[in-house]
Amino acid sequence: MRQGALSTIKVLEATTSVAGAYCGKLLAGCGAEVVKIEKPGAGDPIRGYGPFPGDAPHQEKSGLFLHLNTGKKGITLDLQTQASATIFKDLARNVDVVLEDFQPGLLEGLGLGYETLSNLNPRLVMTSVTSFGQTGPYRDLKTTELTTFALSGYMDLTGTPDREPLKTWGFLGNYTGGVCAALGTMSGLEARDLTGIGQHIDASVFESMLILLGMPPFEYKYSGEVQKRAGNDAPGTDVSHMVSKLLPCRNGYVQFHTPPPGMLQLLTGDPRLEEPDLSREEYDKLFLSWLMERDKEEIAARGQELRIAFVEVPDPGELVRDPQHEARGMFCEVDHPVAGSLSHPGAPFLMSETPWKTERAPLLGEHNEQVYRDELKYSSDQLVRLRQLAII
Amino acid sequence: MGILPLQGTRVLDLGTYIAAPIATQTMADLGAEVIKIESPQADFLREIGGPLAPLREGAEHDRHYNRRPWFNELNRGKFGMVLDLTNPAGVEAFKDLVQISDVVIENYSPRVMENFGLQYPALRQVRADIIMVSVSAFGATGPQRYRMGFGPNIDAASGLTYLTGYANGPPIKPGNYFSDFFAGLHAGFATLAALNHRRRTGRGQHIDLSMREVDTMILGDALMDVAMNERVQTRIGNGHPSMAPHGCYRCQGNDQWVTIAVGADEEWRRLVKTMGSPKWADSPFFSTKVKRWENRDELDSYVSEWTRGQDRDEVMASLQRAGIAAGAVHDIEEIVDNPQIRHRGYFSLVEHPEIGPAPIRNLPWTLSSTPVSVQAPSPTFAQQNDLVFRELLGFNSQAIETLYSERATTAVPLQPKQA
Repeated sequence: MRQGALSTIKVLEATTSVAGAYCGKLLAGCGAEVVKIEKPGAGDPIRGYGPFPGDAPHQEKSGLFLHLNTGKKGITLDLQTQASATIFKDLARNVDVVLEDFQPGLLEGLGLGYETLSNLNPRLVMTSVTSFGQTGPYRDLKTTELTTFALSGYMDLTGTPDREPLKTWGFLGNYTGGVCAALGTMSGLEARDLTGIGQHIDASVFESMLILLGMPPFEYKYSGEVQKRAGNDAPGTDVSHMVSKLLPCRNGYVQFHTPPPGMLQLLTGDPRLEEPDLSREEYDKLFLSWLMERDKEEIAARGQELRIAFVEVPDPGELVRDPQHEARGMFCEVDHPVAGSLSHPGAPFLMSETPWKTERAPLLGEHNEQVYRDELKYSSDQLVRLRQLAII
Repeated sequence: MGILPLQGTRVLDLGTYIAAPIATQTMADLGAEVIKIESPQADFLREIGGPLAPLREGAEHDRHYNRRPWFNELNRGKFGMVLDLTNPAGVEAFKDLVQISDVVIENYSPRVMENFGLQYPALRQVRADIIMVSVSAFGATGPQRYRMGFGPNIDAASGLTYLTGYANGPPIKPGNYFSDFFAGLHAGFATLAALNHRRRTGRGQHIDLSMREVDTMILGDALMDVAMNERVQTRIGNGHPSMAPHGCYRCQGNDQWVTIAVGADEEWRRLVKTMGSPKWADSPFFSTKVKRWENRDELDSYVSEWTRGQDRDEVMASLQRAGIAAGAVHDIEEIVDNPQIRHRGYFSLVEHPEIGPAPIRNLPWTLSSTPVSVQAPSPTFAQQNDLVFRELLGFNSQAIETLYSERATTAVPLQPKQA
């Protein structure tokens, strides 16, 4: 079987955030051996996040956990116990990457900071991904996805002007921080191949989200204009045919960029839509009546035939039956001993030589024996003792 | 300057707009030699990329297309050259470059590289271990591969827009061009993984990245809900599936807001105390986490009443002191001048020949032993044409002249539009 691009890389993941877990998922998907550490008993708090089958919470059935931890191995270790530091060091000695997302300073407090670990393993790349990074006045702020959304400015660019700023659905900021942490990890690994030594990567979700602001901070420098949320109208576009729109149709919504002159008449057969002094309201009304007589699939297909950027706005239920997703194998069936067989989103990108891996998420402590006994050579007696003391 | 992670790596960047340029921007920051190859008509962002930066005093040239803030932020640290890939001599020169490069990245619609005759199999014949990265809206295969889409189209087509919006309202797209940035970052990650693999095995490959599929990663839990419960989730505004209060609350002043997120009972007690223990908070409607969530609309109106007359930053500070996740909604101006950002040196200036000091953004992570910082501005149009032809490809003056006379390259954009 062909191996993933990172199949020689070993990662120790100690994370509880979506950003940390998504970083680990990207590395695991590319074939790295990712061993995730969870707290004995409780496990990763993300195991408590829905959805659950039948809405019945179960540690092994969290939809978010199953999605974020594909392809990883799972072990338990309670870092709050004294004996755990030695074990953590044993684990860190044998890996290329330690990935962690604890509150800054916490690992140092446990005697497990980068300095200590790099003395044991000079080739170690340690990636710390936190809300704001390891330094600065925001470092110790208490945050959730909502907080970083607000502070980053991205929230002020989302939503409509007449209402409150809007967070996008889900954990978009954390996912963005996760991919940046994965890029950061790769930059550390690439540097290691040149220098022979590892380093500490200090990644910030907040700064990752600032990338999403796009150009407004740079335009501001020259125009003095503070761009604000504009609903579905794309802000900051000064060419009329690039204005983004989202309008309802008979069976849902379509999204498009206002097409170049002449194209709307071609699309609808209505010449009034091309009149230069047509107000935005009149335009919406005329166009809306045409849209409301048609389905989104038909409108998107007709628009695309004319080479104008029209798309239907699918809901999640429609996505799993989407013909393009089907043709490209976006979803794959993953069998899980407790949660059952479930269709998961598969590869975020396709690599021709090194296939993406979407294997099921680990059960809590599933690989304790394999990692502690087979790899670290702890004796069975030791394992029993560690278990009795609830260290693992 | 010390060792940089990607030094010695050469990248040919056919990217336009945002997605591929974000990937190559990261690679340039990390020390790769990125050669941005523009068409004779120039990258579109040289025309629409925001208000013109003023011309530097004493600048040699006054060329508006070199002074667009979008273009200049996205392409800092890259070399710039021009090749017409519809011209056989341009294609030949491009193939010469492929021979001495590690990565080719492009974000055209899939039919464009086909028309150039420069798909992966063709590039592979030129250089067997080339890594080619194709970023497209819907992917390089499948019945919708030729569909057109720009950032907001992709966010809509991915399902992200459907799920974003106020409760009971229509879908609302994420701010600006989310998928361009998210896809570009993933393209960068995939490229670095492919480089790592090639160093070990000697094998290159083709990366086929659909912007829409990358967006799908964010929908993981909603898609699992479909798989588990056949349930189609919908818009919940700033709400949360189990936390309350969890929202954005108006404060004193024009368009001033603070977000507050409270989950466990302990956090709730601290919130109540910070609000001065108002009577309404004793109501049995708010006595447990579940009840607070069930009665969240009423709870929100009480919290709003508390925040409304107060200074946004003071609300945030007092709640943070109490250990509650509260955050002010910053606007762009406040981000440009923000204490955390200043402390981390996130924005900096690079000297641009026609603008003077130009603002750029640094990487959202720091590296302890091989620190990187942006060293060079974005290229002016065709700036490194002759450097590439002469130094990298070893063309003589006559050969270079022929490229210009045959219009395989140019020093000024063809059909320049007015600013």
